[in-house]
Amino acid sequence: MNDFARDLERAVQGLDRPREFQPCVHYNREGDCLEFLVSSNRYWADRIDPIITVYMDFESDKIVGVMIKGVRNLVKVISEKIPGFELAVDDGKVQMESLLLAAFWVKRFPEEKIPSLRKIYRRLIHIAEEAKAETDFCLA
Amino acid sequence: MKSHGPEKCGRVIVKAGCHSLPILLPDGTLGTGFLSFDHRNYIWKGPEWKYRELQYIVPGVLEKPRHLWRGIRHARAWEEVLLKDGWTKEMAESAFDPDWWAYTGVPKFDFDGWRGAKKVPYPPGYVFLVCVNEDKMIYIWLSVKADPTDPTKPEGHEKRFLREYF
Repeated sequence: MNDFARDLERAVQGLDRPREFQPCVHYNREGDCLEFLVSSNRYWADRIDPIITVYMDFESDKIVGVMIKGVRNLVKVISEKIPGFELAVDDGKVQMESLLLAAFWVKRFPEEKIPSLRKIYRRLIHIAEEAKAETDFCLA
Repeated sequence: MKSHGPEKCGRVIVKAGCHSLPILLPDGTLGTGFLSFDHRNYIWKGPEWKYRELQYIVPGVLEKPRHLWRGIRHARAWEEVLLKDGWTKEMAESAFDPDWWAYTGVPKFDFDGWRGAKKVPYPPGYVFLVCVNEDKMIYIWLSVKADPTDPTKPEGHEKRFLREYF
């Protein structure tokens, strides 16, 4: 076991750990990215545009998660372009599907990429609805 | 006033709220990379295979990467660059965070399983990628498809990174 692995092992002793997987959303400050995961299966990452990287199940090749990059900038752009988005924010939280939909609305994509991106965003929105996932959201 | 930044303790740099691990620096020496406690806690609660990757694969890729890539394309790049015809050098470089780095390698093994994760062979055709920001904070580690012409490099590396460092 390397020193880092040992250090981690010591640090997590006594920390709670769920027995069953639950869909989860996590904002990573260091990378300014938001991760949303709906399965515990092993996945690989497919970067579909500069904002979205989808997680694909190694076995089924189905989407099991997504990483949204540049969250601070995305929030700023949403605030500027869709001021009414504040209606989707409840007590500082927003549903993941609303955030994904807003991301698709505010970003401009090369024409030829729109059909495939539309399909992926739709799938992600559907997955987020099913998982009833939400995240903290503070309008700029 | 007490500093809240990284501090050197002997040969190891420690940073409040972070774990430290060795990382190869662009000049070929070993420096220190970091993982925040917050990130660790999130990973610990998630699938165990991901936690085991952090323990046993991430350190190897950071210390002995097969390739090192400078500059990770940021999320604002789409509007600023890609819709314009004809990239100039300046336009292309403005699409990247130049001090963010990606370390890649092809490990021999991986892990699988929600709890009690087991060692499994690393899937062929993929590359393990670890990204750090300008403070050498690890923020992602993922498997991505390999370049069909060079299985040690990530697919689309030409557009994904500012340049190949080695």
